[in-house]
Amino acid sequence: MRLGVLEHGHGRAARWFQKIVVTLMRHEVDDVVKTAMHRPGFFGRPFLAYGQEVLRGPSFWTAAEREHLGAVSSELNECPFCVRVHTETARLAGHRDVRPELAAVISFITLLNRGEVTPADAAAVRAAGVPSEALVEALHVNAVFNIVNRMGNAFGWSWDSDDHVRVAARVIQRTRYRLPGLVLR
Amino acid sequence: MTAHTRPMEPAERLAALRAAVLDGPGVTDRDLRKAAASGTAPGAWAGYVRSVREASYRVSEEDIAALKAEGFGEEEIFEVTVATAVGAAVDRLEAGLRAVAES
Repeated sequence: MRLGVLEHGHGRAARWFQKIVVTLMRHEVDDVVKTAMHRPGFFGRPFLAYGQEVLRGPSFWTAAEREHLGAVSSELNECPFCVRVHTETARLAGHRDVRPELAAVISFITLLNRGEVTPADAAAVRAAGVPSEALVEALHVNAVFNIVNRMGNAFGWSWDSDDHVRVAARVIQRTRYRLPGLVLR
Repeated sequence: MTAHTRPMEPAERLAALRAAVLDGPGVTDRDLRKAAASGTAPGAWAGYVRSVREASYRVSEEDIAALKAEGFGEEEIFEVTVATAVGAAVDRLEAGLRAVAES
């Protein structure tokens, strides 16, 4: 990573956590988690609270669909780090085909991220069978990725290998974006 | 979905994140973080903030090195980057919510 504080600026619990992860998983803690554990009150704790609710809380969209949407947002923002892992988490969560409702939302998000969205586009999403609340939920998924894509690109987040991506995706699938509370203090 | 089954909605959690990043304690002035969040940071931050907001894939190692050469510390770069990212995301979200509300 481009900032040494994100690589090494962690409290004692977070440092122990990283040692345990390396021993058990044979991979380093990923760069998102390292960043979240740096001064967690500033970013990591409130960000993960938001991300957990948006990506795994109650929703019109399945977890797999939200992961797929995250990969799409990351593609639009040209964040290869996030595309890789969220393509894998979508696969692990059972993502197969894009149902018409999700396709409509993807069109909306694509326009939105280009700065071209209009009320008529929102009406078109509803006409495809997506309730307004479900569109709002998708907008929050997009917001989560609009945050992390920018941070990943700016801070130079990277993967050591394809296996590192797969391991991280499995951890996300199992933990539902939860970290031990101690490492976020 | 009611507030009863869902005590803290995504919007509230995003507001809490935004408050931590823009109003919480930090090494940078809150005014700088707020400016970054709106995409209009002053001086040597201007180009960097614009890149993170508009085309973060263009940010390079050299951009970070240039900020350090200007005398900015890593914690400052961390805070301004996060503020920029959160601000850009909130603005997009609000543009989407407006389109929904007006449709």
